Amino acid sequence: MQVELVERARRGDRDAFASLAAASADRCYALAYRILRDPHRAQDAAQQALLGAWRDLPTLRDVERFDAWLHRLVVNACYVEARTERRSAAKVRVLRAEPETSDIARGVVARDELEAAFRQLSPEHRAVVVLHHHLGYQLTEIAETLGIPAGTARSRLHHAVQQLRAVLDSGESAAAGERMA
Amino acid sequence: MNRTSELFDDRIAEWLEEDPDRAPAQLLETVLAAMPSVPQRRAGQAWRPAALPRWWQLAAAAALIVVLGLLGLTALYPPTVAPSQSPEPSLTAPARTFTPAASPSIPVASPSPQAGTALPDSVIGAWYHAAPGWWWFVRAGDPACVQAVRTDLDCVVWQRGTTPREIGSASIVDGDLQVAWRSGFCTRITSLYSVALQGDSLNLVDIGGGCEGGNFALTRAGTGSAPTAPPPPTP
Repeated sequence: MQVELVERARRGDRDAFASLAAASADRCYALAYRILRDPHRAQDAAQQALLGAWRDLPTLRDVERFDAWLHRLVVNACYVEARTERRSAAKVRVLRAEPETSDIARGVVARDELEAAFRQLSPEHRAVVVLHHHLGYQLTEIAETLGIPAGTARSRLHHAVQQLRAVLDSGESAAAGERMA
Repeated sequence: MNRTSELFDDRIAEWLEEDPDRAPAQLLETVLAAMPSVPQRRAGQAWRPAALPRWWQLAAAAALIVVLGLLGLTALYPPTVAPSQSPEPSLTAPARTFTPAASPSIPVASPSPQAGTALPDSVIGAWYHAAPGWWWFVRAGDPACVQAVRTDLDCVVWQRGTTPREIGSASIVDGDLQVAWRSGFCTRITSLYSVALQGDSLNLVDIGGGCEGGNFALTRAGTGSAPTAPPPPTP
């Protein structure tokens, strides 16, 4: 069904593309949100990706690869959004939460720390983490989707996870030290 | 992968799972509203630089810059034809076979003309071209030049058959004739010709800039088989 819609849309059928966009909008937004961590920027990126898909669809050679191709457009749109975000990022400072004692509060703190650590990653590293841990892509699929060598995908994922762990470990060590004191 | 890594991976996956999955309604509305104003690309434009690795893009850009630089240098300093060793006149070049252009080619923008010197007296006047056509080399200040070219340099008027005349400022640069065409088919083209003057024969060989390449074997008007020249057409 989707293949037929893609075929029609790449021949200029707007209704077919509207159906494709309706079926893909949530997925595009979810991917963009997870990379950008901002609802407005995620919406902008998803819109840009979908409009780019409409514009470039006639150039898509393998219609079976529409989903992966669309993911690449979303990730590229996120890179663009992130570049503009970086210019204003200097104004934003992440505040460390005060140490809490309850499990619920500790869970909130842990999520906030993960959020803060994730935001420190480059957009390229974030994209690999999201494709792998959220969409379940294997390294070869990530490489194919992003148009990068498999070794680069592996390296980015490795470094991203290492960096996340390092940030979280340092935060947990500091929190443990404060609890003991 | 050890147990700690698995736990950490699970933690990341769970954290990502908590993010929203539903797009705001405006997203789709905006896309569908904007779509009619976004034209689709043609299928032939499948190759896109953005699909290539960044290092490849940089390498391609660097290669492009080098090629453009070389082309620019070639245009600025075209290869010159070695002059022959005749003492008089000074504008000389090896004789070449006349190869008239079969049909006008599309003019291509060429570099700005370089400062040159005035034409020698020996070329001033009317020259017949068997194409048929006429070349008039005119001193600075002549109305034919001033009104059409608005230059204080010497100029050349080239009348090919019944086509509109072509007029340009003319000067000598490194022993070659430089013509900055300002009127006619070659407008905005700067051509460079090597010049070989022997008696009443004048050979111009296109060596750069183009517009219409080839060699031009000219005979001084009223000499040999060349008819007497009409006055240069006024603008």
